[in-house]
Amino acid sequence: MISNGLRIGTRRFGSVAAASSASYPSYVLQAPETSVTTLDGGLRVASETTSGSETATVGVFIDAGSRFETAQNNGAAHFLEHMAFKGTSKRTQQQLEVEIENMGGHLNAYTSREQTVYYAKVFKKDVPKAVEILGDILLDSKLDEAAIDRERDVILREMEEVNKNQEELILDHLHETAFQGTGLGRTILGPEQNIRSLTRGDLKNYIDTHYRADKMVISGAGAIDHGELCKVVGDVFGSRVASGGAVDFPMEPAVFTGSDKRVRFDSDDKAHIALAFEGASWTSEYAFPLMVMQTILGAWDRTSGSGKNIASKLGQEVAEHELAHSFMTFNNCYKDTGLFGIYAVAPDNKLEDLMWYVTSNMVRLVHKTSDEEVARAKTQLKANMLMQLDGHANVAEDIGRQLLTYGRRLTMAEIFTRIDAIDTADIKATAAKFINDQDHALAAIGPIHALPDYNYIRRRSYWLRY
Amino acid sequence: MFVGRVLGSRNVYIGRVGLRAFSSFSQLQYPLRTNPPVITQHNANTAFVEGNKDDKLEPPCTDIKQPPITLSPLVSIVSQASPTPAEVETTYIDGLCVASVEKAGGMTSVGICIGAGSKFEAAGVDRGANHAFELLCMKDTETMSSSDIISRLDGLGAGVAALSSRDQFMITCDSLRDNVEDASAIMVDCLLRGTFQEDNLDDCRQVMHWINSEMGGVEWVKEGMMGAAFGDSPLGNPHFCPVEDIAGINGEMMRGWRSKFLTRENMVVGGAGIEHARLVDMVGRMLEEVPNGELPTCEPSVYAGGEFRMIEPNNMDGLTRVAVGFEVGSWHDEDLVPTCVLQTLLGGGDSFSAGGPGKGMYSRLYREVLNRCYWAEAAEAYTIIHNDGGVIGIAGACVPNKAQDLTVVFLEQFAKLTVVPVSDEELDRAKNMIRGNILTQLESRQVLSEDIIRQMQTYGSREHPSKVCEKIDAVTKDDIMRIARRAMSKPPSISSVGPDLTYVPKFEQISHLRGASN
Repeated sequence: MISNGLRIGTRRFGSVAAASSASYPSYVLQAPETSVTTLDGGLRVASETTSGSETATVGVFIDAGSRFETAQNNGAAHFLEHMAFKGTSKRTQQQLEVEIENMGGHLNAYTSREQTVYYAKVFKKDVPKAVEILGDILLDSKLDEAAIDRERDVILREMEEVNKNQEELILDHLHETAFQGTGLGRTILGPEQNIRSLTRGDLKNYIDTHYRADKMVISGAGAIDHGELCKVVGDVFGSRVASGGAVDFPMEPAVFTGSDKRVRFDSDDKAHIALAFEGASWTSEYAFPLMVMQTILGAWDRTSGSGKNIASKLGQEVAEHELAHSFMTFNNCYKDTGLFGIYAVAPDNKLEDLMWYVTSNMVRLVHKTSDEEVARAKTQLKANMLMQLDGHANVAEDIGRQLLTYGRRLTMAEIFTRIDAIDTADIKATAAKFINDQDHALAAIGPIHALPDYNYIRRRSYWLRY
Repeated sequence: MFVGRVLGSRNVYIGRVGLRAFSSFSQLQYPLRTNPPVITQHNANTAFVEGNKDDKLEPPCTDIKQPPITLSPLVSIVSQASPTPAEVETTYIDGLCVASVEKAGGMTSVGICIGAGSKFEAAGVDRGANHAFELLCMKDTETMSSSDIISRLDGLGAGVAALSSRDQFMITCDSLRDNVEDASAIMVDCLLRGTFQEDNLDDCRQVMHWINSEMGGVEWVKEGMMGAAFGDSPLGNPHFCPVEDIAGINGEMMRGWRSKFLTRENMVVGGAGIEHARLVDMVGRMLEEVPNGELPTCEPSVYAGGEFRMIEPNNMDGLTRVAVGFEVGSWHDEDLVPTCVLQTLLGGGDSFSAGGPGKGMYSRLYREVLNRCYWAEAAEAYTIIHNDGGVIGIAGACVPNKAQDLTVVFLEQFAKLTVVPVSDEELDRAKNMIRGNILTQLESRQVLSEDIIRQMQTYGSREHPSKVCEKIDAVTKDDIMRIARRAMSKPPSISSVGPDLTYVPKFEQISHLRGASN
């Protein structure tokens, strides 16, 4: 697949790139370098230095998350993330916490469907110590039985908090129905039953399978010296992390199923709805066009300054007819698939109109995308991508994520070149591929008695006339 | 289980699974609800969809010109080390202060800070004007319609945001570096030339009602705290326009706001990620028409101490939120830095919150309140500091019948600071944490720009972060105790919001409380 892409790249795109990159201003072409070093065993170290910086972020990005789990150990990746902070053979939980707090640093972690990330934000002088601590908690976590038992209740409590956030809850339901029966359909926290029953063995097993040198990237940004970082990482991780074996862990492919899940609470005051089509993977040629489409459809909130004057046509119509309190377009990418759709919070009596306008605006892109909206969305997307790199914590996150998803860091020049190369025909083609006459997945929570049924929405994924 | 379609193939559907109704109801899965939901699941249905498609419009071909992302880069570029950081430069153009710093990257932040805020408002005259201007400043102007503004900004890769407060009004513009002139021109147009059409005003009033009805307990407690602490003096004015004053928002009031506050002396323009000369040149042209003028004045704000109570019958989580507050100095007070260290030392947060070590897990309020009182859902130290006064306090939440205990615990925490010196370890920890937070946040271009602008507006000069760090180093245990004693030399203020406030102590019950005297 990679060779195929390369071939297409040189054949169809080379000239576009050469022609347009010359016209970029120096701040795009002469971006700070991302240094990447692969250590023995396959562990990659990647960093970007900001001179004059007094603080730095350093993180461990692991190519593992809830989708690589099975029904039996679903929740293990997240459980491990909790246990990493509960002590090692060198440090008790309290020693670890006090050490970080006393040095004025931050240590945090998160687990997503495909990635597990541990990172620290520290003063310049504490970077080696941060790497040492990250190595310690990742490779030498005690996984004490009693601590595991104590943590079950904490995770269940976290589950309650996560589920109070209706946006999180609905995206879980959306994945559950869209990718039913596959790893990507499972939640990150796992079912209550697993949280209560996962054992030390399950967690240990998960570490052995997934925390391996070839699946890890150490990423740094800010006050970082790449050479020193490589040395420290080599010392800390080098001999302790298992190197990549010949056999890769097989990934369960994601299968998208057109379907819906509706959770009706008549007494709630707002309905939450997520409508999605199957999207593209991280590396798909459609990844950037879908980002432009996401920007065209946009996001809107009742309290936002734009009111009815938002550039997005969907936003204008939602505001004009008071169809929703807010909506946002999402475009989640995974290794082999994605979800592209709209999440809206709306009053119960507007749901039918809302779904009509939402689908109509998505299908509109197949037939009637205007040059003007594409041009505007392209510039906006560039700005959004640059905006996300504000501060070293964001830069380190970007480096780590890109190394895991793309295998390298895209330069700003490449990102701009890819965005610039997209024209209106590409957007129509992308919409035709992902939306036109496609099955959708939908999740809804709240007073949704008036939400149109599956077939009403499915019928509106294509047009019979303008 | 992989029934159904293979990726990439089209129009293969799984047959109808059918409607399944579930009756089990997990409060873990669906918190905040009392009755079980009706859950239905349904898969795409082949028969219907394949029926109706004869007449459908032909879609365009689905091929695009772009290749997938592979390991080989698409463009090669010249990489270079990031440039050495620049110093902040300042220029005055006929009384108007312009300050900026260059910072590598493709984005530029520019902002304007104006010495205006709700403390200058008077009931029955212009109550709510600042909040209204914040909501109205992106609407129709003499040269652009509201929709022009938004679509032009989008087309420039720019975003403009306004934020009003009790004594500073800030409007900021982030844009692609190349487009900074065009984007800033729109920001300036919004600030100077809004026409305040009747439909703009209607929208604004509607949003104000919406904000009033949607504001959560946490925001109300803070809003109420200022009223409780400063009573009838200017800083005690409401910031969010009260419901009864919303109807009074009109165009005249907005134009009055502009002529009163928009003077060269009362404004600071600043930025980060821009050459200073370019900014000065731009500002010189764009803000040429802004007149010189007097700084606005208002009565001095005097800390009084008092209470605010708001019953919120339908709050989602059923918790009562309480904040206690004490007087501290203003931005100009010599104890400002130790006050911020004290806030970090108290720390705190939610009894359940995301984030690992570094969020203040060993701060006072975690160790002595959240880890000991099972009923304390939240306890966090806060400071609200303005040009002519400030408040330090602790805000938290608990079930309604523990509200008295929570209030007492908060007051005890302050009383303890007046008699027992803090330990070396916790003082050092607090100092390191605040220093780390400041330096990390200033890495962000947006934060840096705002910091420069607000400091220039407040002090007329900008203190280098290294100077601030030196001041942090110099804070002693005695400073902490002195501030706590000074804070407790006046009556505490109390602000509460919740479904049931029966157990929240009345002001009269706590007003006699004082720390140890000097």
